[in-house]
Amino acid sequence: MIATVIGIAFLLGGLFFFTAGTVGLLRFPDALTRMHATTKCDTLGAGMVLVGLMFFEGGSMYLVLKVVLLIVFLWVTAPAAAHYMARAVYRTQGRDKHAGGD
Amino acid sequence: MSRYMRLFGWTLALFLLWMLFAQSFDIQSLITGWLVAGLVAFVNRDLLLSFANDLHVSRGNLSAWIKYTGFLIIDVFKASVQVAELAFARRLALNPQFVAHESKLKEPMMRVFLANSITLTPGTISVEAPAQGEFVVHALTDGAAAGLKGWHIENLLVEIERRH
Repeated sequence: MIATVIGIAFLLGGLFFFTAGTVGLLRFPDALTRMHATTKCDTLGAGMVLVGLMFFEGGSMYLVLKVVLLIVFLWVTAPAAAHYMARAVYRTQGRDKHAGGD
Repeated sequence: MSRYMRLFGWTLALFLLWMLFAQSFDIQSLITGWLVAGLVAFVNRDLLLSFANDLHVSRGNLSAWIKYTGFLIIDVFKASVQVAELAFARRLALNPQFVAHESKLKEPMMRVFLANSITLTPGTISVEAPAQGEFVVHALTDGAAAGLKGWHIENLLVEIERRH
């Protein structure tokens, strides 16, 4: 029962951050600022959803290890992908256009 | 560490990963896992990193690594809360800007860790992360741009590099 409640709390937390990321994506003015919203919120959102799922499955050692590995993988790859996209925007569209946020 | 030891170490690591996801100990799974792990490690033999030489993990700086991981998790949480606040605010209070950042780190892999940490933490995304020279960082607000100077996560990475 307690595990289910904690699991739901984590899932709701993850959902909140995914929503915040999506709202940021829609509201922020340009490619780079939108990237702030998606990179940070989605990383934590996915992490929280994964941790929440762990509680639903009883938290066996296998599952905990799998989830931890998935979170590490996500936290290593998501910023790398964001970095490449940000660099592409910076190099192709120049710093002037995006510095002012229009 | 010799080249063959590194290849063996990575094969073993990939095999353990296979075992973790397969959750089966029958002979077919064990043989297939070992062969596939070996093949993947062999194909990527020029890219395999060493824990000691490339990732700078040693007994001397293990406590600094643990501290870094803890602070990084806290900062990722803070970053998401900050972006959520900005996203849900009635008026967008953004002042996007590029900031040049001179890092004290010298080792290429430690600079990769710094670039990764910059992207994961509040208000900043690393745009250019060269092996030498200045980083270019995109900051969402003035506060985020100012926060890069003397940043505690970078100081921890410097400590890791120094203690290695």
